[in-house]
Amino acid sequence: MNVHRDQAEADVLIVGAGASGGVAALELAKRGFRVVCLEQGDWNIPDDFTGGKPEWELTRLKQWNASPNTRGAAQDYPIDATDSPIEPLIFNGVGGSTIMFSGHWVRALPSDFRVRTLDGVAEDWPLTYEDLRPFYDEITHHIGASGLDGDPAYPDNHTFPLPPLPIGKYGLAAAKGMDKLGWHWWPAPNAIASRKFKDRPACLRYGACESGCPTGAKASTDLTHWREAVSLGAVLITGARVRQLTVDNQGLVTGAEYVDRDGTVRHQAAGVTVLAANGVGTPRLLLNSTSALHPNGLANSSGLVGKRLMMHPYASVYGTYEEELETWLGPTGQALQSMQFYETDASRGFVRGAKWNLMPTGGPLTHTLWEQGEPWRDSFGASFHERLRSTFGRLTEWGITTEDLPEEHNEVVLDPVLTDSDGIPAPKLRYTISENTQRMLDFHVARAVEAHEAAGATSVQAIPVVRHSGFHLLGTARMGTDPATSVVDQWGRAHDVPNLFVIDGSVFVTSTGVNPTATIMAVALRAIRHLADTRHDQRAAN
Amino acid sequence: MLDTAQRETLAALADVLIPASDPMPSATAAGVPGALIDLVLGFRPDLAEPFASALAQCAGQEPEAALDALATGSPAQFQALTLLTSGAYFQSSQVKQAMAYDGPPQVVRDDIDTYVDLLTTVAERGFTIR
Repeated sequence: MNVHRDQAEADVLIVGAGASGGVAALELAKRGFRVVCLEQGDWNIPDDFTGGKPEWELTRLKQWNASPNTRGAAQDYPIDATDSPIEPLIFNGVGGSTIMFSGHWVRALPSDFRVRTLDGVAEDWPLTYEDLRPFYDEITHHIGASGLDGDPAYPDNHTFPLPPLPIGKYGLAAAKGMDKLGWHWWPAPNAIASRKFKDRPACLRYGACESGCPTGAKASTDLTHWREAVSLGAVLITGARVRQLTVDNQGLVTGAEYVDRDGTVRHQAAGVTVLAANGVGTPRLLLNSTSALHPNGLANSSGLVGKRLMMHPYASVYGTYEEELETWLGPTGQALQSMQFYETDASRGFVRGAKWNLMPTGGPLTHTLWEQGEPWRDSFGASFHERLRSTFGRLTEWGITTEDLPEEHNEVVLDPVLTDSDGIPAPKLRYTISENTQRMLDFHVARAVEAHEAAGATSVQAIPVVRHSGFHLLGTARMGTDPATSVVDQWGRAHDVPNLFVIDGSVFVTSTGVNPTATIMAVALRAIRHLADTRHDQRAAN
Repeated sequence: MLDTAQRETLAALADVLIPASDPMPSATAAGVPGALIDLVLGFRPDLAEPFASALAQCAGQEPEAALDALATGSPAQFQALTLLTSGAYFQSSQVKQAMAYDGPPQVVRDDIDTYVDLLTTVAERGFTIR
């Protein structure tokens, strides 16, 4: 096959224009590097999204769904998740999955980086909370996160550039319940602007965050990073689906081959290559990049590429309330969060814990959906109006993000049959929920039921594991100090390939128990700044 | 575009799925089998085929029995039928008025003063940081 080599060489090639890729592109462009990014999706503008429009509730179930398997759009690749109880959620486009994330902007806690030392499980990270703190601070203020200082769950009084979003009637009801129980809660930090910030307007509370923010208030990296990076000279090539990385006979990566929208295979050369393609896309690409020197995939001498997948099994506990609580109002987004049961308590029968988030439940159509296998008369017929009256505006969710620990049998592999539309082998997930996580889920669900009851819920319904919840794809190219037991070092540099970096959620050693985007971006900024600072010592392909 | 027979089938099924319940209109009274179903089919063209199949399977049959058979034997078609029917229903201005639903957009307003006393308790209680 002919490969066109018609692009100018880059100092740094970035694969993927999402959260970590945006951080890298902006930092490197500011520092004068020639940056090229390959992104298989496209740009969107806020008006593309359907929130606030008549079609929103119907299109969020298909065209603007967070599952690439459900969307099936041209820029998506399929993911075989038949051997996983959790569906992977990804958006392919400029901004990546920040286009569809809920904007929960949560720092990990200090204990998250020391689980071996504190709890005797998994491994400690090769960096600490204190190492990351300045990067959390910098990004929080760069993107315009909203929140309230002083959460006692953290060891420092970190600040937010914007005041918290309203917790609303439903947040107040839940807060009163938590107060009765004496449990921790705090107005939640969100990567959503509560006031105009830079060129982004304030949130208009559509509650459509997970199908793309129609206002432009959410801090997706197309808005917070990519526009500025491009204005500083970064070259962002959309519609570019990378099929493999290329290497020279010295073992250095020389760039990437990609397929453009016309089906032409092109090569982008670069001195250094940075992978920012998420916890599924990155191992897929490394495993697809086989050669005589790397028969098991690139950067995979440890055999850990694709292994140790962590997905944060997520439980939803819904409370129904007598009074109208305006639970159709956004953001979605979190109103409150709780760390009450985040830290290990051995008496509970498991180690580690989970973060809770209180969320609204959307528009009327959400409350009348029929699920296959359930009696249709529970949703329709005489039940239709009763269900609508009792839930619409009156239903809230305590969502529970549990910390699953790394296990090698949870993995991303290449599917032997399935490919994307360009014939590139697609990823397959093999994932099971461990006994520790199952106990954690059981405990937390029981406590969340109590929280709703204390808040006055008239009925409570739990979904112990939500299938459509796999936004957090972590751990599949872990960082560490030992090349035998890790893929990259603390700066994201591959142990096997000195000019190859991984900076997305793949590098997580453990999953933490919080939404990972703030940590992904902080880790990426720390790694890329180090790369820029040490550029004169960095080996690069010719 | 649906033909007259398909709309008649839909009307019969839709009123079983969404009957009237004061102050809420039935599906047909809300206009579901007319312009509203056309509107939502435009939003979800991927459902046109299973929706048409659902109507074909139910045509000429007693609606309750037809829905029972469809839900059991053709769940994808049943899902398309119910999703589009309720999706069309909530497009109706008559329905929105009956629900007294004045949804977003809504300007963000601070509400810290509603919970600051509760929060003081949380801060004073503290947290054990490991």
